[in-house]
Amino acid sequence: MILRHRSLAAALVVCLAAFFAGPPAMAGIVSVDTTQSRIAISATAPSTITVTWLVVRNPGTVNPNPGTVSSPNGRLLVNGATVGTISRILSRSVPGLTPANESLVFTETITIPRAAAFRAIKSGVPVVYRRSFTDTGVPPGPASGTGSVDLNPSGPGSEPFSVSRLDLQFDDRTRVKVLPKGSRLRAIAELNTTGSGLISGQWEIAEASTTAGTPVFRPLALVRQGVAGGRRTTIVSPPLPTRFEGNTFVRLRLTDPDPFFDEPELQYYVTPKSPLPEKQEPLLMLVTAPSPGTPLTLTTRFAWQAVPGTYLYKLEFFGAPSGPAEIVANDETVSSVPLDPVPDTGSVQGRQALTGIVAPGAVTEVRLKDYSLAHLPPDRRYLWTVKAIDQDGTLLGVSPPREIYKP
Amino acid sequence: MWEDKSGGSGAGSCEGVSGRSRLSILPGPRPGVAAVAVTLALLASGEAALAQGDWVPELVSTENGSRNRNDPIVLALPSDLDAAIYPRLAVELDDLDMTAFATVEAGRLVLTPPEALSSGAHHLRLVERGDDGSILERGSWTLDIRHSELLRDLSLTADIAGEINARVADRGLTTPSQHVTGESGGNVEAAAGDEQWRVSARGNYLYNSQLELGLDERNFDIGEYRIDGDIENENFFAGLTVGDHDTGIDNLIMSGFYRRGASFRAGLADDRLTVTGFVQRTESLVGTRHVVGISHEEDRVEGASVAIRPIEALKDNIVLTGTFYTGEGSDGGFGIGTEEVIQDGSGWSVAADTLWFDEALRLRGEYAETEFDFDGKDEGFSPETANAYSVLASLEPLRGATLDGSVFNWTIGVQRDEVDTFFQSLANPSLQPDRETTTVYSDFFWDEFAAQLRLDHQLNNVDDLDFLPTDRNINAYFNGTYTPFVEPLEDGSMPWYGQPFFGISAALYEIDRVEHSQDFPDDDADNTTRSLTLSSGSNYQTWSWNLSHTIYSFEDHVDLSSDTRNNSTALSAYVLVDDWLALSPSLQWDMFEDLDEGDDAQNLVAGLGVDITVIPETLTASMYYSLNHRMGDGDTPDTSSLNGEVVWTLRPAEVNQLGIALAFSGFVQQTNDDFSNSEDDMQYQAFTTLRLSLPVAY
Repeated sequence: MILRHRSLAAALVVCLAAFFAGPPAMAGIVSVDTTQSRIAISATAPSTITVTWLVVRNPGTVNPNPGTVSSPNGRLLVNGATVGTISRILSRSVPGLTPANESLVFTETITIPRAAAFRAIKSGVPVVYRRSFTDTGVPPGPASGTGSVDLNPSGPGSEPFSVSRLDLQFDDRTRVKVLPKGSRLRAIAELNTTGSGLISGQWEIAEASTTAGTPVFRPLALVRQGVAGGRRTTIVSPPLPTRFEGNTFVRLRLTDPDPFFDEPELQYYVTPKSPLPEKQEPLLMLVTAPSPGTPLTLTTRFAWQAVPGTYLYKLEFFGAPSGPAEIVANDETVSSVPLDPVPDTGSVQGRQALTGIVAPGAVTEVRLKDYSLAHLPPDRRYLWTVKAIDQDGTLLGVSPPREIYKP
Repeated sequence: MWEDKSGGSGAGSCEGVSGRSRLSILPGPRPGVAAVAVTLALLASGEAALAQGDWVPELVSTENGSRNRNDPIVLALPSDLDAAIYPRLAVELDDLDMTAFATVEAGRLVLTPPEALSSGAHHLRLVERGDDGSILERGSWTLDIRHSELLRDLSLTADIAGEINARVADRGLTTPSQHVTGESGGNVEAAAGDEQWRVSARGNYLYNSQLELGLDERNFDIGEYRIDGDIENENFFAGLTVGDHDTGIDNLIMSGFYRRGASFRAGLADDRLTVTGFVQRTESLVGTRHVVGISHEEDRVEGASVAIRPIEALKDNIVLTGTFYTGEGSDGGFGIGTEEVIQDGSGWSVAADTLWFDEALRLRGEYAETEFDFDGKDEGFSPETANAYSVLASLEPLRGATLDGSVFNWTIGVQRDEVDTFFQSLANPSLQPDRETTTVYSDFFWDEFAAQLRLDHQLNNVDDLDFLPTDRNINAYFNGTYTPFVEPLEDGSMPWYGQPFFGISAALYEIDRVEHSQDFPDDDADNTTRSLTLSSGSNYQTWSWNLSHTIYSFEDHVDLSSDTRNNSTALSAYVLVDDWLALSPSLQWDMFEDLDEGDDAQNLVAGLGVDITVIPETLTASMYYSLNHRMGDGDTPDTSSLNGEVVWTLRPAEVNQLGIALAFSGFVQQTNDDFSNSEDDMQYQAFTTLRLSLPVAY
């Protein structure tokens, strides 16, 4: 904050000095400066920075002397060698009504490639960002002036807050999906960031009710994710709507920091609800026993709330990941808005049960028999779920996998 | 269709062994089955088991040797078997207890599978339980369910749909020139196989008459696809995959690399040796502009990985892995936004992952080296060589211990990672370089409580370059949940508060500069980031809700940037009102404050989804209302929108039967701009649609 004030103060001082200095002997561009003497950039990733140029122009004594002060591009230099070009025109018209100096402020946001930072580090010098401004006014122009700012590769504590990479996928790693109406789907954004700050943005979708003509994106959920010190972070979308049949586009639109790349979009196509039983999405089943922490024995009672239309319940046990728990992940955020009515069974999906029991639809509690328990080696943790299945084989409900220990 | 696989002895009609099971060897490669056999043998070793008479059941074959997958499975019991034994018999199919679906009478045990059996091998087991609690396996069989004599597995499924849309109204939008548009999408999956081989393919396609909405700027194109071919026998397996896939290699130089290409895998059936070779494109692809994606050597990586389990007795506990690759190309492509620069690189990695003391202790380590040309191939500096390592020790010290009758699980671990300043891999582009991190963590679960704690000490400037400063980042993270156990009421219903859950997570990042750059000794860094999230919710039989609040703050103690604070509240629910009505309301409120500038901004996003079944399988309606309201500094126009569709199904799609439906869909959006009131504040478009769909299954 103080720095920002300092920058503005510097700009003000330069403007006032230029204003009160009176017309110099030579007219045209008097000076080109930046509000910061140097700007920190990331040493290990592309950086997005904002540069504010202060250009002072002297219109000369023959007034009015209108003109255009412009700079066609900027150059990134390391040890005097050009390592990159910023092809963006900065231009502004000035009236030149009086002989007094005119101050112009140009602000631009640019991205410094990682290769430039790499070369600077290897050379032990900063990257120099240089721009030349010309004045088209006549007379006494045209004239030109050049200014520069040092960009020094720095550490994660002071590098600019930016997103250097955004990888957008669906939750099964694919990037194009065709799926039946009502299916469960999420998008996952993996971001690499530099610096510290609050990632602000929103998940947006253009639903099939618009893509038949002009796609119009609407917000799906706000995203606010704090990051610090440059890291990889994962933002999981809320369940993506599959209620409208047809083409849907999804994207994570970032408002801060503003990315230097076009935000990627994924596309999925929703087909009518499938008649195939295996394509149906189940609803959440409530388990009422055993309580958490109950060991798995012959007396352990497994009970659940009845699901209407159930032909059979299937209680299944799966192996938990072997060994001690993995390192705690602290870099993933899952959006809970809107709520996902479908339980997450990813940890057991597609796996064959080690053992279990199948019960008729009228039964809502069971105990494992000794011959089933014998399939499970002792002193291990297991995951268990109960499923409700109708006579056609359609999965009506499933409970989220729970962990249980067998002594 | 299925066939009893004949062979074996005893039972006669199926592979396997029947009769007294003390010495039985169960068929099939599953490792768990052998363990179970041993366990059962031990359990059955008592004198009481021997005293239960000697009788042998037989699996009854069908007359023609084949039957439908739903047909009952019949076991013939000795005609003179004491009927008092019947209640003591139990049947397992694929290790699932199916006794509830079996009947025993007149010397026959009939199991009616409650679900159709899939093609492949199924394991059937008949168990007799002794009066003294002993278990005696009377027989076990492998049922080989085949599609036909030629093939065991053959399946084809497809889900194809398309629609023709006619725009009937629009306002305030730049609409496409086509009043009538068409679009289509489909999935196709096919598989064929037998005991020792399997071939499968799957893919999807998209069609859109609007070129700008087409995939990869084409009206019609394949999206993603994958083709697998595998063979295996008792000793060996091999496979080939072509298309979009991840080889599953996960280490410092290659991780989560889901790309188009080809990979080959081979190894021993007991998993003691696995070799994977791969050639994959560096950037992600969809469409068929590059069908396999690996034809250009400047856009691909190629390499191999070998995994060895050197000690047979510990093959589930020790695995050694070596990986290498070389290639060139750029990151990015479809779905990835980043800096796209052609670079070349290579890398190798060796890793060991071990489990000790009955899997209570994990020791894992990896060392990797990469060579990467940061400033472009054949430009500037030569490629940079860098190293990285990672070591982990984690322990579950009190496994199985109980406290107050409840089992608790506790893991403690320490991990050390060091990734050089210039460590970069084409096949793991998101790995954060230049970090030296020591992490201590704990994972605790007891009764209704679970807690996780993690402490990180992290430094940058791993290469110790004088030109760069060294910053320290200390991170503390805690996550805790409380899920009270709620028993149903006497009438079986849940109490008013349902099954609630409560959560808290907190994170602290403290960054300071511990060593200044020699060139910029006055530059400093010192900032603190905090976040705290409280969440709660509850699940009921037909509805759920969730509420959370997050406070985030950032303080820059050297004033490089503004101090900020953010408060976010989210509330959402799902209500299945009845069979015909489901509601999904949600609300998010966010307030951001720049504490130095005095600026603030608020954002409200609200939504309501409604799904209505007016006439089951005939007339349905769906709509979604969305409100986006912004206030404060940087205010932008508010929007509210309504998306909706009504679908009248003329003929429901059945398997292999075309479905036809008519729909009316549309969208209306109101923009509330404080600064102008042009006609464009109201935008809408509406369509009538003819929909065709064809689910295919064979």
